[in-house]
Amino acid sequence: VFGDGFASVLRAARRGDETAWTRLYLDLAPTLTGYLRGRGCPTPEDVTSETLLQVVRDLCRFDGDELAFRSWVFTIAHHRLIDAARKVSARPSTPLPHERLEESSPPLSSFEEQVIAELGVAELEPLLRACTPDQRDVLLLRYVADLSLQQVAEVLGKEYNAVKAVHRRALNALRTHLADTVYPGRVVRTLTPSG
Amino acid sequence: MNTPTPDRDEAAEGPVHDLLWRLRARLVTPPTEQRVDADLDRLLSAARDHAHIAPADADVEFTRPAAIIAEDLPPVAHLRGYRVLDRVGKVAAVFVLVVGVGGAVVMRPGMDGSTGIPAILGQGDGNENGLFVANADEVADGQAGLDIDDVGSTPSSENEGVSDASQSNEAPASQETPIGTSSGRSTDVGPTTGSTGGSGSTDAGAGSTPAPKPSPSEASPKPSPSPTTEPSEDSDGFDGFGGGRLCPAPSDTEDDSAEGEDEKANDGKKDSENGEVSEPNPNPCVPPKPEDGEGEDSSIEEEEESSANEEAASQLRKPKLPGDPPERGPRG
Repeated sequence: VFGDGFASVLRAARRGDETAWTRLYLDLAPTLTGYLRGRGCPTPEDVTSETLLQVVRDLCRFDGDELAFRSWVFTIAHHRLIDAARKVSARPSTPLPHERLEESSPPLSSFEEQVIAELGVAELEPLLRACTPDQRDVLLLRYVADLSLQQVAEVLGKEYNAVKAVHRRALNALRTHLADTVYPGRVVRTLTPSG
Repeated sequence: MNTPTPDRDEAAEGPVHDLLWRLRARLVTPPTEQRVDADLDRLLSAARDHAHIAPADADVEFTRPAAIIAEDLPPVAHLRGYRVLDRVGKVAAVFVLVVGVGGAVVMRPGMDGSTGIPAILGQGDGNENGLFVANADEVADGQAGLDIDDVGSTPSSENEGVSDASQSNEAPASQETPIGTSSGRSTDVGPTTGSTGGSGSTDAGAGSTPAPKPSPSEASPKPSPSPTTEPSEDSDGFDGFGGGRLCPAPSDTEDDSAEGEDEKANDGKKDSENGEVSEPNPNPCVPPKPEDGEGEDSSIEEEEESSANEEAASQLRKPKLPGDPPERGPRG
């Protein structure tokens, strides 16, 4: 998050400044990759790179603040994700199992990363699988990309109320999943319209 | 009333919030250094290509409203178009230049003789070469070249006989006249003669091949008994060899006088005003055949001519003294 310095960074990026683009890349690339990986993109890093290249090409057409910029970038990433899904459907491939992905993952250094790694992808995979694709999109954009529901609606091209309803259903699905798998003996509070 | 407001996100609290946090922490991982280097190289190269606005103008440009910035973008597209047109124009110019040079090389004269361009006439040796080239083309084309050669070589001696007859006393002196002196005037002769070979061909005959010396036996059968032409600059002793001309001069006086002499010799009737001849010779360089009734006259004329030549030869043998009057021709 750049805050007040975002305008100067954006001007420098339009001039082709190397430092500005490095900062933008380091800020956007991890969240973009996480969103794409959570959506099941087979090559999230490649799609992230294509998304940022599109940002470079179309930056002269953008006008707005930082939140609008992030929403615009994830909109491009969402479109790229759809294109990648179409390519995968046209040429299907066999994905690697998560065990092999964990073996091939890069070495982790920090303590936080080690703790996160202990959680395992296998634990989160059923969590996301419990949601529908629309609910997964909303959850990832809301909690991984740190976008507001209004921005999520803009990215997905839907109405705000529709996105809010999808978000609510996604959370209920997660609670149900947790109650059934992670905390089988506990009652997880569910959110109902009546309270 | 626990009805959640739209902005409330209390449902993500507790175990669900923890789960989402873990999900985020697992998915959002920093890229590797190799990936960062590769992606930044691509991004920076693309950013340099798309950085159209100068750094000095960038601060001014982006402080203005977006609408004004959008209006400023089309000129950049126009500049691109102009650059493309400039390149296309350069390529077209190079193409036209190459095609022009190639066409010039293909159409260069003298490659096979068929496309030869006539050389510039009247330039010394180049005259002969140019005529040779032009005549060679004509020879290759048809009969015209044969006529040219005939007129250029053999009839010249006969015409010399005609002119010698009119200036018989100067004939021996003209034998020493350089042949080249006649080439400068021969162009004036052609049009008046109306010969089939034309002036150019006559020039070729006189200029390229030296005419044989006139002999008394080859003299014209119609000599003029007394030259009536007034002495001119041509009659300075070098005009004996046909007066430096193979055919009569184009001047009216000379034409009239020559024709009148011919009339005198043939019919004894002078018709110099209209210049008409009963039977015009199509080629004055070729002597007309003697008609009936003229054979005796021709024999008499030959005798007179031979005697006149002998007298001229005797006069030439006599050494000239400084006090002697200049020769003015065979008058009286």
